[in-house]
This record gives sequence, C-alpha cells and structure tokens, in this order.
Amino acid sequence: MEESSQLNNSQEGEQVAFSAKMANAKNMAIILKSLHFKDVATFFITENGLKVTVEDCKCIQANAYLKKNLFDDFQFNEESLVFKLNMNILMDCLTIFGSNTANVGVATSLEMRYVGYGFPLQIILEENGVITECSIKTLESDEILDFEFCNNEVVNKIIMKSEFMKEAFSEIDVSSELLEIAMSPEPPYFKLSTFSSFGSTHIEYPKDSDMVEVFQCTETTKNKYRTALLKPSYKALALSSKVSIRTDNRGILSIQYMIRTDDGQNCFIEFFCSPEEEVDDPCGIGDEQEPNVARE
Amino acid sequence: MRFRAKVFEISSIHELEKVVSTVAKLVNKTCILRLCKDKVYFISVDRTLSGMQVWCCLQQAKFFDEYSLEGVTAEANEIYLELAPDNLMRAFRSAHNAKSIKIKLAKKHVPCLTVEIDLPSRSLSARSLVHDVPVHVVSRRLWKDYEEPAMPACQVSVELPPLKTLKTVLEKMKNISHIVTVSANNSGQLNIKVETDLVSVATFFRHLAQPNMFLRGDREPDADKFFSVRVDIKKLALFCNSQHITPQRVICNVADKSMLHLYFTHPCTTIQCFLPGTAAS
Repeated sequence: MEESSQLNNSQEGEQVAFSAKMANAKNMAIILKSLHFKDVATFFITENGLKVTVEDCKCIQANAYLKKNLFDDFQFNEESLVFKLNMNILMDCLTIFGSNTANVGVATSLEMRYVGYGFPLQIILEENGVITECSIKTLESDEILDFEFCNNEVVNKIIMKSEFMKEAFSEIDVSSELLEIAMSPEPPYFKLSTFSSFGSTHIEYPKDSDMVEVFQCTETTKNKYRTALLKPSYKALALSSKVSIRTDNRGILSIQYMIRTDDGQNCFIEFFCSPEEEVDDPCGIGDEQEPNVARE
Repeated sequence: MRFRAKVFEISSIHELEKVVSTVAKLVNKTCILRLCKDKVYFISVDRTLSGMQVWCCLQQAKFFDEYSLEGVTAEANEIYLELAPDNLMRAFRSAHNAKSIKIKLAKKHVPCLTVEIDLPSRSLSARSLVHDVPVHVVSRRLWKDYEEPAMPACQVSVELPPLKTLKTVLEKMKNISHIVTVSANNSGQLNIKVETDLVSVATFFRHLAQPNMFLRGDREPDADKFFSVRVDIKKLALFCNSQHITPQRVICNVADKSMLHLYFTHPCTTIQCFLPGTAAS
C-alpha cells in the first residue's frame, strides 16, 4: 500500500493528458453541487476548459461550463477527452475539508490531474498544510443527448436579473406537476402557470421592469414542463446573478445561469428541458425531431 | 455497600458534566461505573470484535469535596455499577447552576444512584431537584471482565492534529467506506485512507508532535517507515465527535496491524480508547 503522496511518485515533467489548478476549490464545488441531481456526470475536456453534463429521464440536461480562465493553471495535451465519474464520490472529495465556509480566509486549493484514458482522475486538495489526495476511477462515457437547440431557431428570449426569476419561482405552486411558461411579444409578456385539482394559478411579469435586460419575443408560445425535472435548476438559480430563458421552435427550454465566482470570474450553467407533449396533439409535432422526448 | 459523595465547587460540577458527556458519546448505551477509594472509572462494556473499548479514570479527590465509600467487602473495597451514562449526564446537566450536589447509592424500587441537586433560590426555602439514575450492581465474580485493557506494544506515537479537521475528513470518508486505514511514522506523519474499487482518498498530516510516554524499547530506526492499522471508521469518527472536554493533547498510538490506542488527558481525567484492527474489508 502506498503511503507517500502519489504526486511524489510521478516523475518530473511526466506528460499528462490534463492538469488544472484552482486556488479556491469552493468555486468548483459550488458549481458542481448544482449539477448533483444524479449519480453520474460526464466530463468533457478541451483546450477551452471543462464541461460537465448531467442528464435525467432523457428530458433534462444540465451542463456546467468551466472555462480555462476559471483556473489558475490549465494544461491540456490532447484533442478532447471524455469520461464519466460518480458524482457522489466526486462531491465528497471536493468537499473533504468541509462544505461550508466557516473558516473565512482559509482557502482550500485544488489540483486535478488526468494521466490519460484508462487512468483515474486525481484530485489533490490542500488546506492549512493538510493534503488530501483522491483517485477516482473514470468510466466509459455513454452518448449524451443532443437537444439540437439551435441558436438560429430561438423563438423567444428573455434575459433578466436572477432576483426576478427567484421571486417568480418562489411563488409558483410546487405541488403542481406541470409548469407552463408563456412568453409573448404581447401582454401578458411573461407568465408562469401551475395547475392542480383545486384550480390553476397564473403569475404575470412585466417586461418593462429594470430587472429585465433583454426581451426578444417573436411569437406567443406556451409550453408545459414537468416541475420535477426543473427542480434541480433551482440550485443554479440561487447561485446566479443573471438568467436567460429561451425557447426554440420545438418548445425546448434553455435556461442559462451566469454565476460569478469569488474572484470575479463568470461561468455558466445551462439547463435544457423538453416540453411535455399535449395528450390531445393529433399531429404529434416534434416527434420526428426529438425521438428522445419522454412520453407520459 | 455504601457510597456518598458531595460536590460544592461549581467548576467541578461542570467538569463532571463534561466527562460524563464524553463517556456517554463514546459508549454504546451503558457502561460500568467503578468506584474505588481514590479513583472513579467509567468502563465500556462493548466486547464485540470491532468494538471500541473505553477506559476513563478520574482522581476522585479532584472532583469531590466529600467522598465516602464502603465497598462490597473490606478487601474488595470497590463498587461496580452498570448504568446508562446518558442518564447521569442529564442529572449533571440539571446541576449546571447548582450550589452543590450530593450523590449516593440508594435502593428505591430498584438500586439507584441518587443525585440530589441543591439549586439557588430567592426565597428562604431551599430548592432542590432529585435525579434517580437506575443502576445494576455488578457482582464481584464478574469484575474480572472489566479490567483495564492491556496497552498494546506500539511502534509509533503521534499527537493528533486538531480534531475538527480530522472529524470533517472522516465524515466524508464515511460515505466511501466503513474501514479506514490509519498510518503513522516516527517523523511525525499521520495518514488516514479509505479505499474501494472506485476511489481512494488519503489525507496526509505532517509535522505532528511525538510524545515519548508510550513507546517502550527502542524506537524504530527508520523514521519514515509507516505502521498502520485498519479500524472501523464510524468508531473513529465517534471518538472525534465525542470530545466535550477540550483535551490538552490527544495521543494516537499505532500497534502495527493490531490496534489503535487513543489517549487523552485533562488535568484530573484520562480517557483511553482501544480500537482493534480489523482484517475484514
């Protein structure tokens, strides 16, 4: 059993496929925590940075983009790399020294190393002179969904300050199975509706508020989404300062959250969600385009 | 068999409360309270294979202002009582602002350790509170089951790093495996590690002090050589969580592949925990 640090054992200048350093591990931990709604996540590494993807039910996909400028050092020596990791283990490792920031002024530094295909992901954390080394087995990645959300086919787009959205989401009925999002160039411009056996609630939001930065709606759209699927996005909403909501011509929802880290860098988390098909939709619009949309 | 004791110093009452709270956290529901002429012991009863054995010893004179003991016989001048330390802890907690407490062995419906608490009162009449802690008197022929565990031959002895860090790390490691490997060497290094098929996590502590009091014979010449033992992680985490006393030092002794011995001392109390090494994975 190896007692000494694994790092000491590797040779100087050994070429690894990927390595990165971050002065404050908390930045990464917080972002990945909002993606922690499934056991497994897929990691994509390119020369531009890291993308972490988590999916559920083939209807929702969350992506966290950690660009290379978020890191204090970022070395990448391949074309691209993909692997899967167990999220439960990863989060335990990233927060090994504790997940709260009780110790103000004490930062946990983070270093990641990936030798290459077939090797585990090594994560090294240091706090106050104590070092923890984690070696997490990587798994083969499966195909992930491509929602084919085309920027050219965006029908409606709203960019707003997150407080606005937080307020909106805090008022909706969480026991409702479905959430309907209506966006329109005409009033009501932005409306959230929930439905239950007792009736329905509708909340309307103005477009003229200074909370709304961009309002580009080309047509009236109404789409229903399963609230259970949207729930994981609330963690990202809580961290964010700005939010963009877009729907395309198939009703696919794209929510992008902009998060500002402690050192003033921006990073993004994006959620894609398929709309719930109307049961009485005779044409089955959207069937050909997204065979992955789940049916009730 | 008779036992009566009194405490008048509020600081001693608080110390007793802390000691009993620590013991209550370390043992599994019940323990043995052994009363002797000069010393009071709390002894755990867990005899399972992976069980942690706890041995806590107080110098009676430093806590009690009055102490009178008549043991089972003149030669065996001791009393062994089995009780739930949680009950005793609650009694001491009620005495947090007491003027004095009186403890005595009594027979009510069942044998009890009665704690009479004299509370401050604004009126002329005194205010008192009584806790009856049920006890089971342990017969003399069973006393040999509760002897002090033998100190294992240790190869290395280090002072533990701040328990807070150790506790946090162990809490996360608990999610990964139920066995943790504790290793230390004579260069003041301590490592704790968990390992499964999917992951291995190891935390390295450096520059720890190395007390001399436990090492017998010559120290291992190779100061970098590690000695390890695999123990139940829940028990180790329990130990780190239990410290109500702010210990001055917690010493960790490793008996290679066989036992982890944790020792800490506070002015008038010593607590030892013996964690056996486990072969099971």
